[in-house]
Amino acid sequence: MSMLPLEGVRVLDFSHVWAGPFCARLLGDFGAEVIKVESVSRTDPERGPAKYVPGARMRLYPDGEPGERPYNRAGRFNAYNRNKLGLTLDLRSDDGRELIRELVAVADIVVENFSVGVMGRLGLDYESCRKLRPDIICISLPGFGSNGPEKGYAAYGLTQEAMSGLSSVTGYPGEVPIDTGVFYGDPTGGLFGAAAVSTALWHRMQTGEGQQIDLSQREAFASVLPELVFEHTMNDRVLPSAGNRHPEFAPHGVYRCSGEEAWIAITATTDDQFAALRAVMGLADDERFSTMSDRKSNEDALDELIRDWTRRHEQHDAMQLLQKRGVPAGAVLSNRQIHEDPHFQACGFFEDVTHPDAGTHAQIGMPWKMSDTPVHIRLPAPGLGQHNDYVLGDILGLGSE
Amino acid sequence: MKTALDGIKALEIAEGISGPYCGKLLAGLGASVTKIESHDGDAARRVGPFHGDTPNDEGSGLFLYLNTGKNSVTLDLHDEDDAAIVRKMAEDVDIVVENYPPGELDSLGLGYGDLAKVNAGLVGISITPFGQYGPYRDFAGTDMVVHALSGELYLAGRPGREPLKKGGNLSEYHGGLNGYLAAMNALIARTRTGKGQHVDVSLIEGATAVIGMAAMQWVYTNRIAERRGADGHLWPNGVWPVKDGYILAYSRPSADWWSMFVTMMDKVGVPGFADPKYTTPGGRAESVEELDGMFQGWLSGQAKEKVYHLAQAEGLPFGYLATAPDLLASPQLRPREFFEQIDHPKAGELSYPGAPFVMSGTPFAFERAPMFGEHNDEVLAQYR
Repeated sequence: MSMLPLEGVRVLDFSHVWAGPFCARLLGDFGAEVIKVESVSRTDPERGPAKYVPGARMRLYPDGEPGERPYNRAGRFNAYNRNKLGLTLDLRSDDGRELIRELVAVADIVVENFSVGVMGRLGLDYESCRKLRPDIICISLPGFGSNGPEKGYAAYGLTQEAMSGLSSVTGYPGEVPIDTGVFYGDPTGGLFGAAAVSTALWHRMQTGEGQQIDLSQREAFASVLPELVFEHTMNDRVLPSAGNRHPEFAPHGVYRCSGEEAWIAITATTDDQFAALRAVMGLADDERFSTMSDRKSNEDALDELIRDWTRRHEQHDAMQLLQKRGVPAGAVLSNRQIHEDPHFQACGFFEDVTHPDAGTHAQIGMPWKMSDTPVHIRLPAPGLGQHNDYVLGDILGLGSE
Repeated sequence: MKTALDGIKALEIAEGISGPYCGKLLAGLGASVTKIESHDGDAARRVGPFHGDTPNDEGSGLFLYLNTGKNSVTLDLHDEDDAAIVRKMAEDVDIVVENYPPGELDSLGLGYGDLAKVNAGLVGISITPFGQYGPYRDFAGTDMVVHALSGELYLAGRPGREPLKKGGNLSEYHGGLNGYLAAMNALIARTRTGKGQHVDVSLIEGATAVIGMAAMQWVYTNRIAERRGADGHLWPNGVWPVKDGYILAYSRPSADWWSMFVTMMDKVGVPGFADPKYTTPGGRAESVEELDGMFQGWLSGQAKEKVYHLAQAEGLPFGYLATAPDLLASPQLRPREFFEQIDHPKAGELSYPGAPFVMSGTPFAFERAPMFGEHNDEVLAQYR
């Protein structure tokens, strides 16, 4: 078996919900030994309730069944915590805190996304960790950063979408901007977090120095939305929500195809692509669409002609016809369709994972195919306290007490 | 200044967003990055925004942002002599980042296999819309098309209406970021294996990784995830107009959030929410019109920043729909010095979104983007 990039690197993951756990999970994906530390009095909220009470809000469980241990079957938890080990401790007790200090002393990385100040009260802030392990790397991923007047403010995915600027440019044209169904902010924060930690690890390997990383999820997300900032600083313009349209290119839209709830995204960003689109759709030569600026000015009329064609075609057929001529077009796939899609299958993207309490299911794999040190899902998400014996016995050398 | 990637050298054979964004992160964290541009220049130079909407090679906001801290050299990869220079340059670097269509650089003798022959430690990062394998590998992709095939687009928007793309070019930035993350891990692996490697990064897979929950919904329960926003399942979640824009009301379905909300509204002189008939989610669902009227009646006279601070003071995770001017003036972002002022000989001084994270020991470096071919003499002299 080949070596994994982060083999031998130990991560203590104190984080909850999504952005922090995703950061630690990515480190686990690259081969680190990630120990998810949960307090017996406060487990990761994504585990949901200890027992399912009939009538309560049903979380996402396999086959809709909470089972005897619903906290080991919760969909969100299991998605964001694979490739980790599970440890439970009482972080409020002196014994629990002593054990954590012993673990910090043999760890490389500490990940947390508590409210600002909580790690300090637990005696686990960077300065304290550093006394236990001088070259430790600590990362915090609070919503708004570890300093500044709003440092203690609370934020979930939707809050981040709004505060970063994304929501202000997302919505159907001419309508109130909307919150959308997928929160990009959390995974963006998690990805940047893993990138920051990997960078700090590299630096430590060269110099022996650890460091502290402060990741404001709002800032991380705003840094991948520069388009709206430059539109303002250069032209004093506030970008509106433009729906599926592009500020410069037309056509650029989502069009209904034949069949139920079937759509296709079509864009043409060059004259050549538009010529190919016209040929595929059999559109007459029309001076309203001669240049990109003509097409942009007459976008409504152009969209109408495209819709006339797409609604007579099945979404995959339409995609293939357009892509054969080099026109960027993609069927809008549902969560079911991505699992059945020939491209995802050929790339082996989804990996089957067997979880003792949740069963065997296809899980999202790795968007990076590494030729020499390939990475895969090695471990399902941990059951609550599943690896207590290993962590306390094998790592810390304690007896069964 | 000490940087994290001191001494690391990278070659960027990429244009547009995904590959250059990977190169920008490498440069920002201290690597020396040389960008190879064709004689037409990076396509991003021709995409706005531009000052006064007047396109010019050195004025694209998108290009200026994506290429901070790099050197630019112009070479024609289809020319044998120029391709030989690229191969020589690759002997000296740790990382090559490219986002050409799969197979194109191989056909020019510049694929990872060709470059690694003379540099066994080379890390090659290829970032493409659909990856190097599979039936869609030669498809043309844009951010919206990638989101369509990833499963993300289907989920966004309103039930019964067309799927709605998010603003910006998020799949492209995630592709660059995934490329950077993989590059770091390949460098770390190299310290033990002694070998470089090639990494195939797929934008579509990166976008699918974002929608983990919807994928779980299919494999756990065989249910097709529908388009829905956050409102509709818990009042008052959603976007509300205020006098200077919009706020976002958001709460998790926890036990005490309603009392936080009632407290906030009581403090601002709208005590009606304390009525016991609103205490349960079911009671609120039956009284949506009354609640809407009371809340909107107050909101319409309020400023977004004020509502945000009032709600957060009670522990409610509300926000407001920040626009670019809001971000630039934010009392939180300003003291944290998030925006960087960067001067450029042709484009002038502008505010750039800054570091995505703050490292205590090795700060980001912010240098301007290069002008077209600016470093030809300096860099190419070593290889001609």
